[in-house]
Amino acid sequence: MDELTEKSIFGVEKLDNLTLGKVLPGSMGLFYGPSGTGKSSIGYHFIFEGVGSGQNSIIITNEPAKGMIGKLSNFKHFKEQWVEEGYMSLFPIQDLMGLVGVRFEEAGGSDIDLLFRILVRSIEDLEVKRVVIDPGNPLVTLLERGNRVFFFQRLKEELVRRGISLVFIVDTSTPLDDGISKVIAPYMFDYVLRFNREKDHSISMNILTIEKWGGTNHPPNDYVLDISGDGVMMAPRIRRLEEG
Amino acid sequence: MPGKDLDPIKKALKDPGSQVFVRASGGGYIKAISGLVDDLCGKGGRRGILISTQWSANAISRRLAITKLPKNSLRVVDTVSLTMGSGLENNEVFRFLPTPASLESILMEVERIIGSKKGEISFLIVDSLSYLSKYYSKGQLSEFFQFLLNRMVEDEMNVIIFDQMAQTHSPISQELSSIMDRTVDLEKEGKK
Repeated sequence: MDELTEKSIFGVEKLDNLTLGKVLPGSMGLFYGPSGTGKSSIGYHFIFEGVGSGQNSIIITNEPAKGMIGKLSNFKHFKEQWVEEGYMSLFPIQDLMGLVGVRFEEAGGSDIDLLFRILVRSIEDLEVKRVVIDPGNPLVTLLERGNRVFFFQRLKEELVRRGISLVFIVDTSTPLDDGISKVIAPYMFDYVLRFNREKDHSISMNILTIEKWGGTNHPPNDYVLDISGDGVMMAPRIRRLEEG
Repeated sequence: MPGKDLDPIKKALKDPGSQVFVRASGGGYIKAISGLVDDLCGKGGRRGILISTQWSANAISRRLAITKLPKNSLRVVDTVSLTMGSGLENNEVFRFLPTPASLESILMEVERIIGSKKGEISFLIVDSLSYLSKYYSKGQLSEFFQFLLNRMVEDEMNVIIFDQMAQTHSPISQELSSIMDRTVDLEKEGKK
């Protein structure tokens, strides 16, 4: 696998610097944490950077496209013309299920296999290089129900073959340790970012932890995130050291 | 503040990226800051950031005569005014943070200003260590300044940290004095 020579991956300067400004084509990243902690914002910036550098990109979401455009419009870096001109695609997961021809609640194992093929085919047809699935929770539920434990391994193979980078976002309040879910676990991903909200005295902060990067455990440093429509700022977390 | 007393600071700031720790007290303290800002922004034509942890926007405006400084020469990160209930909005000069501002939010605000004025910011003044010490432990401040000083060195920006002198120097005051390029004790300089 060749290294992608992009300088900006997430469009968040500090994060790009920390991750050496590169990801591998075919890489699969996991963002997880409670809602409102910055997962989607960084995921969207990942897409914005891709489209901005000429890579077709897609967001698979559980929101209707119109609602998503409204949401994305809050970000300074988003341009609606990307969607209009087809550089950025928004796929509501319900629409994908519509193509499968079954309601989400009723989908079983063979429906998931068909969904997988439709997903891969769509990505191929649109010549997409970056994919964000946000939130990935419905898909996880579906995979668990259908007992599709190798979905992500199969997806990874497809991504590598086509040089596509994917970010999978899971909304959760509990850490995703190996074994919590049989269909999704950190070891399946090339990099893992954990998002959290912490209170220190009266100050509430969004905290980002790079748990895994490039197959190795990242030094366990935390970073504070400040998210606004203008972009995402990061600063190293000042540790609350015990006074000796 | 007689300009001569600022000479050791000015001399130390001639080297890009140099860092000066300034101890001052009483009336000489605010005069030193206003004299320094006037010298750097006014005479020196430089652009910089002031982190204010003890003076409100109105007090700073008056004491530093901000309206007389060249436009856009000074950006102030103000962690005081919001706490006083002032209904203030961020503007060309002031960025307001609540108190106690998290140290990370100060780092991010500094980073935001540096990013918005690419290559233009050449100095940072912290006013003051003594006020930050009221809210944060030595360990926290040590880590905060380690990040801040390293970041400023990356872009060769001058850093001036003010400390209001007490009878004895706090451990963090001693630490910063030992790691920064130069320590200037304005009271001693005045007696020379």
